[in-house]
Amino acid sequence: MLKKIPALLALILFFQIASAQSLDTLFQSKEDLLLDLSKQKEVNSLEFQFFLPDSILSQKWIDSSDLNLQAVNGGFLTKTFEDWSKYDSLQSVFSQANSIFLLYGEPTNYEGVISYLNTLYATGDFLPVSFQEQSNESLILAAVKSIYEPYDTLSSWLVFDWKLIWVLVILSLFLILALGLILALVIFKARRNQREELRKAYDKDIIDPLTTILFTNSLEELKEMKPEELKEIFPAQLFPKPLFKEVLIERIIGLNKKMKGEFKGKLKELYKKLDLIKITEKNLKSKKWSYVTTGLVQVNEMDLSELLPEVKKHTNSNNFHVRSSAGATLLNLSQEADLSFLKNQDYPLSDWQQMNYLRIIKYVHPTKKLMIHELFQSPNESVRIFAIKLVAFLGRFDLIEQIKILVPSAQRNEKIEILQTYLTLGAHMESEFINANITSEDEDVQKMAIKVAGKIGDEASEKILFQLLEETSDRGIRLLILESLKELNEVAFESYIQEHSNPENLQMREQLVDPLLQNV
Amino acid sequence: MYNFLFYLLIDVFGVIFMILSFSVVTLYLLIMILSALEMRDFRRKNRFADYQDIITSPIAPGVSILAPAFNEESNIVQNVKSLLALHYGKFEVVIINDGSKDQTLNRLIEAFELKKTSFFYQSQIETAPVRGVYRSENKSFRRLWVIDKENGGKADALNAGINISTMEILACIDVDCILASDSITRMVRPFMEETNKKVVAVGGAIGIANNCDVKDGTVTKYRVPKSRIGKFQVVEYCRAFLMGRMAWSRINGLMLISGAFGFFKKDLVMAVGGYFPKTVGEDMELVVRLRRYLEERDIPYRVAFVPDPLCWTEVPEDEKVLGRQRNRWMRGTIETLQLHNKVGYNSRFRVLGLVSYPFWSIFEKMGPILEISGLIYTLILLLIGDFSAVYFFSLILMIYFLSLLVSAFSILYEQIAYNNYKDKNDLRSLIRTILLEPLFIHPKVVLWGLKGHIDFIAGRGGWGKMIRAGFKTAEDRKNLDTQSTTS
Repeated sequence: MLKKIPALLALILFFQIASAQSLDTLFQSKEDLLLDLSKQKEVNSLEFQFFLPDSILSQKWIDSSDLNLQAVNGGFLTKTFEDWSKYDSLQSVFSQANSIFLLYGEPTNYEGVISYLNTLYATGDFLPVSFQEQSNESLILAAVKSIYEPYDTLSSWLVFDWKLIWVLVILSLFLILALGLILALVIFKARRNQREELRKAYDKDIIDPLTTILFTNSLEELKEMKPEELKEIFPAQLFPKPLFKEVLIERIIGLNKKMKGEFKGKLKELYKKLDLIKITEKNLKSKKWSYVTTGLVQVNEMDLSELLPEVKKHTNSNNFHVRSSAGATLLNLSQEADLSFLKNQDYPLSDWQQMNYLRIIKYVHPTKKLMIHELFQSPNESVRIFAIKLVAFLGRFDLIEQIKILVPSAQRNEKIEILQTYLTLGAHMESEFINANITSEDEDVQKMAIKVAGKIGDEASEKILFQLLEETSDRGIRLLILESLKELNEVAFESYIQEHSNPENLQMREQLVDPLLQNV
Repeated sequence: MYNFLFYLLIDVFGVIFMILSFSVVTLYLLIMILSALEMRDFRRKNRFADYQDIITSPIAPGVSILAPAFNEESNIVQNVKSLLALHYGKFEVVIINDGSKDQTLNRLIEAFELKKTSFFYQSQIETAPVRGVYRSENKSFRRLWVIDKENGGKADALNAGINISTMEILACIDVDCILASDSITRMVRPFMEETNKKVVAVGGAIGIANNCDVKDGTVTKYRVPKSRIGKFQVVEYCRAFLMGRMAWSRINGLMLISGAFGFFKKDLVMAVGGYFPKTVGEDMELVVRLRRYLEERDIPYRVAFVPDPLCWTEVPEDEKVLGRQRNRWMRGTIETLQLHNKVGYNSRFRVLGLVSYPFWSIFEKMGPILEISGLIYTLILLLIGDFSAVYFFSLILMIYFLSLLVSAFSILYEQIAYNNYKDKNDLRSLIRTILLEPLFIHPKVVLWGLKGHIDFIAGRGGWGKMIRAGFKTAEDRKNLDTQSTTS
């Protein structure tokens, strides 16, 4: 591309030279010039008049007011004419008279006129008619020259140049938008800073009265107190403010997380008596997902079980965060924790949700009756897989039989999870399922089955593994098989290596016996 | 006739440049809006996320951190220690010594009591020969793997790490990056939130560590770099990570995840044959190939982005080094777009084919050429006397304002979202950089990009003839390796 630039410049220069043309060459004679001028009609500051010698003068001309003759030495001068289109007709009338060119009112000759027109041509104020009558090519050149406009009409040019107006409008819009956006962000940041400052100030106003009332009043006393009495402990002018209440809720929730026993009861009582529960209810009914989730978190943290019917409405929400929080709240607060909301879940259960539910389930399962087996009937595969995981994580050996019901119709991910659960629970009696999957066509299922067989397989597993070892050439699978065989029957493993002591098998053995690579 | 054609071309180019200018303006305004929406949503969602559970949860995925090292003897031990100290339950650190000529390997062996193992290395993805796999006898370093291999470049080293990794998520990073202690927990969240769409990769934002205080592997005090080049990169990184990537993430159009800090699903990376070692843009190429693989199979997927400041890196403050880096980035972009030209303007690939690819082709790849062409066009207009100063300066002003707007927005964005640069002097310094960048730094960036094009055409740092034709499918990279191995 860079190499082409000189060529491009040369091309441009050529066009420039080719298009340059002087008026000297264009007007070959005075007649050509007069012909062009007559077509121009008027040329700025260029006029003409006639000198009528005494010898040709007639009384008719002297009497004519149109000519406005003035006596000069040896004859008369006509008035000056601006309209060159009249030149020919006048010349035919004054056939023997001399025409005189006037430039700025002063007589000049043919060369003087040409020089003047050249100047006008260079500035774009004069364009010979012959140029206009040439080809399109010249028209383009002609179009390059802008039409002369006196300074005093500049204002109208600005108004009527639509392109320029468009540019200015777009530029202005852009500027306004840019400034508007920046201004909005600056205001946003300022407001946020102000809000943060307010939060800090409110927090200071809250913490002292709150801790005083918690430590000086018993739960019964708090229950007997009227809401108005409780509200009085906070600054009266601040309490109605939404931000103050928001900080108050956060502070109460924060304390509730840290405290135990009666204090939790006191905080919950305060939460209700201060009408903060109404804010929670309002949040739960909001159309914005973030408000609903905030409400659900408040219900969960403050154990507001009276709001559970409202919470249940959100368990199948199309918003991930809403249904996750609703599920977590239900698990935490409902008396039965029967997991029925999960069973009927339309949406796939993500690992994130499973992680949160597992944490709660681990916490509540010693006290609440969990109906995990109900989840095996769920039409949602991810829910069934979660149920299988729960069996392993909670050590529910009693549910192994229930899992078996799933086996005939289990999908690949379910099979992997069942195998993993058998491994975790040490379910030796399920070797039939394990062995059947050692030869699975799905590589991931097969790998998991081989791994599990090594830990809880039986003699049949050993046979299948040896058979597979003979058949497969996949190094990854072979290494896994050897590892499992080593765990199942180390003697048989060593004898196999001795019998098949090729470099690859020896290398694999080296890895499997290397203490640095155990449990890899 | 020639005269006519010349002026016709001038007119046509005039219209093209006008359309391009307004497209740039429109696109950047769109990017600003989309990124603002995405950032708002991200922050809202973050309010309800409890990251504590992930560290110990058995459901959380395992992560293999892959960090190639080449001649890193001075900092390698400290860097590995900070990686091993990350807060996460199930992870391993795989350091790949890519044929270092210095004492990198010995420093690692000494510091972490490493011993060569009998690991049976399997090249599921073809790599340069592996000389040894090291592990420590000390239980404190049980998470550490060190691979010693012959030099093959960053992509090749990462492939060796992928071959040896045992976890389901791959975290591909630069070994000299500083990671926040909670970086893994935050980066795995999008993978764990996956429901209907497979999350194939997660990109992270990179911060600039120059002139910052670092304690225990974390940036404790932010300061902007002292040099103008460094400050420029702060603005540029804010633009790229907080605006650009967030906007692309909004429409699921991300085509690039920084090679310094990116997380991937291992099974998918293996399915497409790992990194492509013959391109200098291996990070972008892998993302495009993964996306292409899933699009070709009609599998719903998502490439996510986490804008939290979790990874910091030192950026070049020397113009020559920065120029080389930009040159490499440009070549990487050209190579990737060329390899995957089947994707471009192809409705089968939806957002990737109709939005992301054309954007990268026109504005990222062709950007420097278009800018230089615009300059030449202006010079031609000046020469032929058809130059309108009013329109020209209006356009220049508009582009300048756009640059100011976008940069100022990204800095304010950082201030609102994270507020890392708290010092007012730092902010003033960044604002000065924003004002001067279009005049003094941007032209250099354009020239470096142009040099990247020239180097690509000249074959400097490029690849062989066969590959230039592009991959027919996303899996072609595997076939290519087979061909090169057998031939």
